[in-house]
Amino acid sequence: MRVHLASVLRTFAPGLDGREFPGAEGSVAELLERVAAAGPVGFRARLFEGAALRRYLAVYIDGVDIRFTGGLASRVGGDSRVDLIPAVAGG
Amino acid sequence: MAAISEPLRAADPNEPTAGVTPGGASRAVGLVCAACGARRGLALENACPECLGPLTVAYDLAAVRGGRGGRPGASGLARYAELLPPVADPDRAYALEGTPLRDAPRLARELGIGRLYLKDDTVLPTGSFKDRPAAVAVAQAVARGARAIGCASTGNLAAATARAAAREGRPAFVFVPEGLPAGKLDPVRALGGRIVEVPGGYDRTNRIAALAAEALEIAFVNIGLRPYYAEGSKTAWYETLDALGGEAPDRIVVPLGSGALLAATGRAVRETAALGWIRPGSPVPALVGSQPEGCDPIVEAFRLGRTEIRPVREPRGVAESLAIGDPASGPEALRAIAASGGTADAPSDGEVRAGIRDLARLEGIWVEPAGGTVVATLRRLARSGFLRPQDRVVAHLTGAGWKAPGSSGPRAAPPLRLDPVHPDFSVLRAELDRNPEPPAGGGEGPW
Repeated sequence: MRVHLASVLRTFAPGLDGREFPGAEGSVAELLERVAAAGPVGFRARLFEGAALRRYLAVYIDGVDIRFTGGLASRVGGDSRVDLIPAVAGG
Repeated sequence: MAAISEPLRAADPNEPTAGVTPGGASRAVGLVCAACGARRGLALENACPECLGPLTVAYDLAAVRGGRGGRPGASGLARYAELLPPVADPDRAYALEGTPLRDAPRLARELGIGRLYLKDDTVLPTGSFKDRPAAVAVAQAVARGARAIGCASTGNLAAATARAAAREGRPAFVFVPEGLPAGKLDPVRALGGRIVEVPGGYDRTNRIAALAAEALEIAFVNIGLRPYYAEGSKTAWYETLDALGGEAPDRIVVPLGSGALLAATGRAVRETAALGWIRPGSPVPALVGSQPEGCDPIVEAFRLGRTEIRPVREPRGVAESLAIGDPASGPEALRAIAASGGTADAPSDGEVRAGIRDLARLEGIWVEPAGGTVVATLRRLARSGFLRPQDRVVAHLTGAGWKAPGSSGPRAAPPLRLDPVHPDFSVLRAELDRNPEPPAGGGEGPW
């Protein structure tokens, strides 16, 4: 699983963009907790509000918005591409 | 951790702000997060670092000198440069003429609405309201030294971006869903834009464009520049209010795609109220959002009383310019509708097509389906009583019919055929005699 961060997130965790997170298939929540733990102190709060995903953070697994696949419970693994993008653009 | 909020700074026209050239007439003082209220400088950012919420431009309204007509001596969008992002030469950068507010008595009579005005943005250079935000965003891109311009578009923004970029001598890369009609793409080609097609719908195009914005030196007007881009849409309201002499209407009906136009209208109404541009005693206009039922995530949230927008995975229907399943400004549009005492409505494709025909038949204006959606909502809300016989209503016509030919539907009459040697006019006579409104006396004739 390779995780790509939008620039607004990259600012806080510059080394994380494009990083590979190897491991067995799991939930998106589990993957994002690993991403948060790999970032600097306080980075988790950029991704989560408590146990929930931040309202304006869109997560795509291989191009598919996780809101269509079960949200944080969606399964992710293998060589999937994971994009974290603020949901504030377009239209 | 580094401080991530900066205090607002008064716009000093002699001092560059965050890489922007001196601000000309603008009273912009910073960006503010629509979700958490965090304040930022006028930086090149589209999301709040605090909460990832959308950023909008904030102004020092106490410093605005112009009255309801904007800056004396200026024309077009440049009249309202005080309430637009800073550029060094607003008269050049914002040189886009305004559009008429048309009285629509025949449609108003048919619908049972007291007074109906149509904000006719179909006459803008590329046939849609998108010329407004594209002009503002491209001006901002140029001020910040962009070498190339881009956008993610359902079609209308593509041509508007190509036009604005051409005026500045910059290449334009327009990302669109595969399969758009010629009315959307031919203008892009003529204007020198490079079309980048993405298989799938608009939301996929938008995501790919967001990735491109991270990877390439392209200034995407509705991605990286989106806080500035959105400001351009406010100008339709400033012009409307000026045309009405400061007498605000009771209702404003706006089509919903991303929700950005309605959200911008809401901000503009608030600004003009605070500036005293709205006459005392005028109503506070209720904002009405109109979204086709094949892609109505904002309307659904409004009906169910939710603050969260649940995206539509497979938008469908005739109104392709509104086919945005994941509307970026949906939450702000929802808040604006609720705060104004407005409502939201989702007509069917059949009603949208009928709306196109009604407007053409009664007012002589040919619109693309976004306009048909608005007319259909006018009919539905007049029937429901939300639009009352005494109301003054403004409806936004955001795109010209030539942009989506064939949208008025199969019920449009096929052409009559005449023999070129022995023409039989009886069928024409029959149609003439079916005319429900013959002129008194039949006119002078023979014609």
